[in-house]
Amino acid sequence: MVLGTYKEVVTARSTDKEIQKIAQDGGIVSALFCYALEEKLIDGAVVAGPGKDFWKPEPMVAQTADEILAAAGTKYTFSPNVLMLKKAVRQYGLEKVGTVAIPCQTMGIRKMQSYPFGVRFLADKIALVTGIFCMENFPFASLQTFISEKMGVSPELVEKMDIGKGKFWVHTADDVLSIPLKETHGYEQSGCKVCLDYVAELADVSTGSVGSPDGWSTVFTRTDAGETVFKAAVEAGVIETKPVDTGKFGLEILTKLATQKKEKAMKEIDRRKSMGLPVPYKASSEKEDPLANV
Amino acid sequence: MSEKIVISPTSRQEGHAELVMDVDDEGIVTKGRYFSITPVRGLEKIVTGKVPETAPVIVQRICGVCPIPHTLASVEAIDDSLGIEIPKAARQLRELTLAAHTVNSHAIHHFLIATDFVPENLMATAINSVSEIRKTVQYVVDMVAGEGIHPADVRIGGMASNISETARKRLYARTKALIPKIDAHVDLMIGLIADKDLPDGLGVVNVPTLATHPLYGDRTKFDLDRFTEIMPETWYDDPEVGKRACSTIPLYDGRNVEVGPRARAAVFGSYNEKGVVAQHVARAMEMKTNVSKIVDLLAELDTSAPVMADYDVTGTNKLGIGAIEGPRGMDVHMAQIADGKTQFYSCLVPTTWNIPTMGPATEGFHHEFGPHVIRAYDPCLSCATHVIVVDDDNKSVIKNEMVRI
Amino acid sequence: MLARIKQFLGIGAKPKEVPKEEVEKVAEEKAKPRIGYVHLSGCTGDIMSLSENYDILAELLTNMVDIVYGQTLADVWEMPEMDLVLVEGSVCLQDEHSVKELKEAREKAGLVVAFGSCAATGCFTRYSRGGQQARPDHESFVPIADLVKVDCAIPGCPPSPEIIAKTVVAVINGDMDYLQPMIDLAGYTEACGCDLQYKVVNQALCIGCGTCAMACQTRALTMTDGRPELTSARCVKCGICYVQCPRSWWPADRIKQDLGL
Ligand SMILES: Cc1cc2nc3c(=O)[nH]c(=O)nc-3n(C[C@H](O)[C@H](O)[C@H](O)COP(=O)(O)OP(=O)(O)OC[C@H]3O[C@@H](n4cnc5c(N)ncnc54)[C@H](O)[C@@H]3O)c2cc1C
Ligand code: SF4
Ligand code: SF4
Ligand code: SF4
Ligand code: SF4
Repeated sequence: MVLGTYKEVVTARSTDKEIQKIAQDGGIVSALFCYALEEKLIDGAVVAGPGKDFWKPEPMVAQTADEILAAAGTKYTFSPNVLMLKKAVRQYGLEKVGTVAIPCQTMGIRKMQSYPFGVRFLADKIALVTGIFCMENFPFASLQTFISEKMGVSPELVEKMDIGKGKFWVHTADDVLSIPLKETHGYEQSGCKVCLDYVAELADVSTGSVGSPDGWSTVFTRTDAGETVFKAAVEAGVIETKPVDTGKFGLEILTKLATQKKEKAMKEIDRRKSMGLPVPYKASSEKEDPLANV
Repeated sequence: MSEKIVISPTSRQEGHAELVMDVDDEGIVTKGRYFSITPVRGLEKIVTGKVPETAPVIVQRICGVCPIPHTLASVEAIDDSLGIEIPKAARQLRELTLAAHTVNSHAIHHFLIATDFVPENLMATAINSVSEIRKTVQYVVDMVAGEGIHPADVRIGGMASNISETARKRLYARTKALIPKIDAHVDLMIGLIADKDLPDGLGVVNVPTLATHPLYGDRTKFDLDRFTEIMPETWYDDPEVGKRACSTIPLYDGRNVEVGPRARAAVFGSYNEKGVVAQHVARAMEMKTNVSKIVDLLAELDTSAPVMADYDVTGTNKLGIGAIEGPRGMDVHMAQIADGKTQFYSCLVPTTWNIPTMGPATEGFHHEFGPHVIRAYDPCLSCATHVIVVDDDNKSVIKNEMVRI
Repeated sequence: MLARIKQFLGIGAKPKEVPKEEVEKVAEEKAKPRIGYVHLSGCTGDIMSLSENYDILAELLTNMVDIVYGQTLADVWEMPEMDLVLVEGSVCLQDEHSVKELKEAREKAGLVVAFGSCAATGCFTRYSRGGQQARPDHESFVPIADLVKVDCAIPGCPPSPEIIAKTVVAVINGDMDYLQPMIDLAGYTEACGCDLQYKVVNQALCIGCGTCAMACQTRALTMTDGRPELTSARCVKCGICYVQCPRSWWPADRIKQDLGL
């Protein structure tokens, strides 16, 4: 199952005009957290907030809708959100924490919950993990290279970055520029090369742009907790949904990309193993389903 | 015929120690010697030569039962050596940490002495009451100091961060709700201890009391000139004991002293009772004063105020002193910082002060009361457990009932 | 050894969390394992952490297990046969008593558990170098696996109350799947914050998630440009950062089971 275990998959977006304007895609992450805050399902959320440098995010604890919105939009570089979970339950005193997480971050969180060796009184305070799809991530210097060197834009002018339709996009106040993804190839961090998870298979709810039209997101509900929150948000009219397109531009492309990612990663895992390098996952020969997330 | 009774280690206390008692024909203790046989991990030597930041992290691991006083005494000693004035909110957060910890620690002591005082039918109630109290106050320590057992966020110069308004309000509401529960718990424990009808005068020993502050600690009340430290070989009349003892003997005005809740009550509260029961009562009462202090501090705390001072870590080799009134008594750490490194470090931990006092406190009563007397001091020697109870002459194992009274 | 315990206890259901009802149910159904606690050169923080299982503590101590040995908790003078012994603290090579007690524990217990990082990795006692009164000769403190065979390790300085409860329940249930990582960790005796660099970053495995920095109990870790930054002045060599890193070992099946996926 290359898309992981899920209860339901839909195409969805936030009904809030403001969120639609500033969000990366359908604004699912922001809308869901705002709703959960409002309904006291969470008392705060860890998000990738604006950092000191342009586009270099800093994990932050958001306790109001304004703070959630200030962190909307994708930053294609590291935001070690998991780090902030400790502070969220300690100094911030939160007891029901939401967090946005790329797939590898969900892995850190879930492993901690199953095996909280050194982590006291935190595992049960994670109330909502919203996963976002992820093909790869870039060191900050890689982003600078694409933007300043390859596209000739000053990073301060960038209002949005995006990956889609085979390209890396940059939006400025008056321009939309792009470079083909083969130009960004080789600039991603190497840890991503053994990553088998494209669609945040371990999140409560996972979302991303692929599989849905512009301005909309594809959403999987996976756990009971995730399903409950998402359904409630839809019922409350905060999020609108439509059936996911099962065809070429919908689930088909999503499945294709997830499969490609897993196949590529499996190859790299096997290669590394043959060289005697450590990898936490099994080799393809040791697995029943070579595309399983291990 | 005089006989020697050895209890090694004394049970249901933290750490590893031996109680050696000379007894007469009636079994009455004529001479008591209590000493630590805990291997010396050498924490003071570990932190010497390293940067000051290492010291609180390492020395809090002296003991997992009273890590908070060690952390606080450590940062206070280094603050003093470096001449740092910490912000007001940082001081409040430190006091908050200590007050919550004291309640927790005293509650743990009640858990450890439960088999001495609590009848079987009340055992579950008592353990649950202890658990409920601990849960609430440890929640305070977790939030304010970062980790409930080894606090990570008490730092040289202040605290790593202030708490949020959400945390402040939450903690305030919960500790306030705890007050009636603590009152009930304290009444229960004091009642049960009185019911035990321990012999009058048990554990009374005529030594001076030493305390620097009713609740927190005050370095100006600890006069280094009046302090001396001698080796166990000099202190114990039994050369065998002197050789095996693993801790040095601290003296004040050349005498051994008593520190702890009863000492604090005597110095600051004109409390005149002495002995085992008085120690238990004074300890239980401190749970009440500390929980109201927590509530007061939380009411006053400005969560937007700064909690870290600006400071230069180089140092001038000034001898800094940190004196903290830990649950078990005054905990003094001394640190000298120069060239950005710790040049000298020394800890005078509460139990070390009480060690030379605990042995004599067993004298004059039947040896069966010995462990009772020791436990009233809530000693915390933090180390190995090792079990031999032998009569020195025939090496026979002395029965379990010994400490059950 | 493990097989013996497993046989003794029988294999039961695999609980996903440890709610109170579950614990009570387990306590009713299973024979109680005989547990001992040996305290070497540790700080008692590990047993304090165990005692922070507030909601289940009374149940744990009275109905779930038999504490048959351990000076903090019971008045027992001679080490009995035990199904499992929790050993807290590293062992001082210059202290005969400690060495003897550890060896005795190995002989008398079916399972030896290195309880806490001092026992498992040496933790901060790895920095010990003697020279302190009143026993300047005490200078060598090593993880217990250096002297005896260790069956499983629960690192942490201290281990969280939750992992302790989960482990106890797994032992009672004979849930070997859950215990497997701890069995593997018995061999992880040379831990340090540097492991993140050696075993993750240097191996092209780090993905900048921040789990290590979250887990570090001394706050020795921050993140710089998406990679762990170690302040070695704060590192106690407990090994928790590496143990929690999703790129050190990956219990996929267990996680899916816990999540109901
Ligand atoms: C590195 C990266 C790679 C991605 N690759 C893909 C892909 O290949 N295909 C795809 O469909 N989707 C991908 N996404 C997800 C996509 O870009 C959107 O983030 C997602 O669809 C959510 O959009 P939204 O409108 O619902 O969220 P919004 O409401 O805009 O909120 C986005 C949330 O993500 C958080 N966030 C931003 N950057 C990061 C970061 N670096 N790390 C952690 N959290 C962050 C923000 O704080 C915010 O809370 C990727 C995201 C990242 C961070
Ligand atoms: S590809 Fe995988 S490892 Fe890389 S950033 Fe995305 S989720 Fe993490
Ligand atoms: S691992 Fe930590 S908590 Fe456990 S004994 Fe060692 S210092 Fe104490
Ligand atoms: S937990 Fe592991 S993968 Fe994550 S940031 Fe730390 S070292 Fe890197
Ligand atoms: S960095 Fe932190 S978690 Fe890692 S070994 Fe050091 S103290 Fe332990």
